[in-house]
Amino acid sequence: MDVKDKLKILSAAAKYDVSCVSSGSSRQNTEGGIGNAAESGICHTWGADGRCVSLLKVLLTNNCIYNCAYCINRTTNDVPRASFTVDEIVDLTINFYIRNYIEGLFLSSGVEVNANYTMERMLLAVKKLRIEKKFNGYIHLKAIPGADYSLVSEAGRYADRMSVNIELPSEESLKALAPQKNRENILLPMKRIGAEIIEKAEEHKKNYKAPQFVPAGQSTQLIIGASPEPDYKIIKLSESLYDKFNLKRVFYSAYIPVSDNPKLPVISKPPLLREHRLYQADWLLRFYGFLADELVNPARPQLDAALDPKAAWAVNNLHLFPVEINRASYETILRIPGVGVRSAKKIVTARRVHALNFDDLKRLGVVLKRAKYFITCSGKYYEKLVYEESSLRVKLIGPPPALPGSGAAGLKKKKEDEGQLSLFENDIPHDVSTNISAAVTGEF
Amino acid sequence: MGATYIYDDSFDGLLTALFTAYCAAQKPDAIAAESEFEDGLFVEKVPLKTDPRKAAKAVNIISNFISLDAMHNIFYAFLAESENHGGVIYDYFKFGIEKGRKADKFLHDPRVIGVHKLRDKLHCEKHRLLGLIRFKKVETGAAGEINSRRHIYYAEIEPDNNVVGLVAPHFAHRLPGEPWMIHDLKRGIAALNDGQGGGANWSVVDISLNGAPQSAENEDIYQDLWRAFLKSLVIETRINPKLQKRCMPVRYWKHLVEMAD
Repeated sequence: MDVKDKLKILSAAAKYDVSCVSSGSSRQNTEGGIGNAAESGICHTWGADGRCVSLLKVLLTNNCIYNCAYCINRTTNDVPRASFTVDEIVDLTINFYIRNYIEGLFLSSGVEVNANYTMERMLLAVKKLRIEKKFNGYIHLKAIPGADYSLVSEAGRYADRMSVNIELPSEESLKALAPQKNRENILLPMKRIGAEIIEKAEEHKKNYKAPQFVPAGQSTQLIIGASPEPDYKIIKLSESLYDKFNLKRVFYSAYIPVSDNPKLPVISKPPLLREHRLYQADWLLRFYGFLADELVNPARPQLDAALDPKAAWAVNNLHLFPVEINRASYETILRIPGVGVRSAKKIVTARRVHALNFDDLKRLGVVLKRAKYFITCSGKYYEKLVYEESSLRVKLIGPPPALPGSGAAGLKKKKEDEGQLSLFENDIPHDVSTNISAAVTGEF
Repeated sequence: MGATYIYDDSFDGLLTALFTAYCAAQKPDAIAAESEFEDGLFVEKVPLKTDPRKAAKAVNIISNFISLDAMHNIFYAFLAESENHGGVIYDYFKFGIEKGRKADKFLHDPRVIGVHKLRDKLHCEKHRLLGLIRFKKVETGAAGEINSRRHIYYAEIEPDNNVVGLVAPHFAHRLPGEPWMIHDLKRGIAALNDGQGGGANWSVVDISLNGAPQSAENEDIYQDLWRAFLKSLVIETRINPKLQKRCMPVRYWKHLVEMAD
C-alpha cells in the first residue's frame, strides 16, 4: 500500500477526534533545527466542514483490539486497515511543516497487540522527530490507556500536549458501549500526567534549563448524544476535570452515527446545537468565572436550546440586573449577555477617562443586541421594558411559537432517572486519591 | 483655509510631516500621501522633503509624549495602506499630543478608533497569513544557487495590506536553515531568507520574476498528499461551506495548494 492510501485511511480514522489546537506552547527552535511552536496557535486551513486544520492528524494504525460501539475503528467494523511506518510519519510531518501546511503533528493510534506495544511505537516516531530531525514544531500525542506510565511520562518530555479521551461521560455508558475499557485505565494516566505537569512546571520555573513536560497541557474529549447523560452531568464533569486534574481543554464531539449497534441511539443528524451550547458553557467556566451549578442544576439539567447559556442564566437571575456600565466591576461586566472578554476589557479601560453612553458602547464595538436589556449607562436604560423573565425571553428569542423549532425540540430530552445516571460512583482504584471519585462524579 | 502637507508615501515621509506639523506655528489642516492627494480649489498644498532626522525626532516625540504603543499603532496603521491613512494618523497624533500617555484609553473617540481599526486589520491579516502562506519547493537553476543549494521554498501572496515584512520574522525563526522567499505579487516585493540559519538573516527586496518558477522534484507528490489528507479529514455529516468561507475568505484561495483549481 502506498503512502497516499495509508494517509487517506489513517486520517479518515482520526477525524472524529475534534481537537486541532496548536496553542499554549512556546517551544523555541534549536541550533540547526526546524520549527517552533506559536503560543497563540495558528490555523492553516479550514475543511469543507468548516473545521480548522492546524495539525497533521493521523493514527499510527487503525488496527485495534478493542470493540467500542461508538468507534469507527472497532475490531468488528469492516473498514480498510493500514499502519504507517515511523519513517513515513516523520517524512510527512517534516515535508508538510516546511511547506507551512501544518503547525505540527497530532499522533493517535488504535491499540495494536497491546497498550505498551502501541505506546512504544508512538514514542519511537516522536523521538525520531525531536532528536534525529531536531523538529521543534507542535506535537500532540495521545496517551494510550493501560500503557505503563513510564512510557507515557517519557512521551510527555517530547510532546507539547497530551490527551486521553474519556469519550463516554459515565461509568454505565462505558460498560455498555466499551466493555473492554475500564475507568481506571482512562483516569489514572490523566491524573498522573496532570500531577507531573504541575511538578515539572515548578522545576522549570526555578531553572529554565529543566526539561519541559507537556507545556501546552492536557485535554480530553467527550462524545455528546451517544449516551443518555444530561448536560448537567457533562458540565459538572468538565468542571471537575479543570479543577482537579488541571486539564487545559475538554472537547465535545456531537455523536455521529458510525454503527448500527442497538445500544446506540438512532439519530439522523449529529446534535450540533447541543454541542455548541456545551462549548459556550465550557467557555463560561474557563474565562467568565461561572460555576457549573449556576448554568445547570438537577432541576434544570439541560442547557436552554433557544438561548445561549449566559443569557439563560441572566433571565433566571434578573435580580442581579441591570448592571451599570460605568461602575460595575470587571467580573460583573463579564456576566452581561453578549459582552465578551474583549468588550469587557475595553469598557473598563475607556470608562476611566470618559463616562460611557450607549453610542460610545457601539463605537467600542460592544454588541448591544442582547446586552441592551441588561445594562444602564449613567443610570439610563436603552429602552423602556418590563423587567421580568417572560417578557425578556420574548425580546431575546421572539414569541414562543416562533422558537427555532426542529433543533430546539429535538434537544429536549425527557428527564432521566437520576440514579441510573450517576457517574463513576463505584469504588475507585487504590492509587487514585480519594477525591478523584468526587472529581469525576461531579459530586462533592 | 489651512495647508495640506504632502509626503512621499514612505514611512519616513509621514513621520517628517508629523514632526513638521508639530513644530509649525500654523498647523496644517491635513496630511496626505502624494499618491492619493487630490488637488482642490481651496487647498494650499505644501510638499515636504523627507528627512530621516526629522523622522527620528517624530519617533522620539510619539514614544515619549504619547507611548511606545502609540508608535506601534502608527506604524501598523501606515502599513494598512487604507485610503487616507495619513489623515487618520495625523488626527490620532494630534489627539495623542493633547492627551499624552492616556490617549489610547479613549477607546470611544473616533480619532483613536480610526488608527486602532487599521492596526487591528493589519494584525488580523498578518496572523491569517502565518497559516495561509504555502511554500512550494522550486528549482533555482545553477545561476540562482543559494547557499550551495539549487532549490528554494517559494510562496506567492497578494495580501490587502503590506504585511510581508511582518510575517518574515516568524518564518525566519521557524525555518532558519532553509532558503525561502515570500513574494508579494501585488507590491512587487519579497521577503528573502538565505537559509544560513540564525533567525535574523532575512530582508525585504524589490523583485520581479520572469515566468513561474519550476517545481522541484517530489513537490507535486507532497501537494497531492496534502490534498488527499484534507479530503479524507472532512466529516460528511457536518459539511458547512459557509463556515469555511467565513474563516478563510475566498480571495486567499488562489494561492492555496488545497483550494486552487
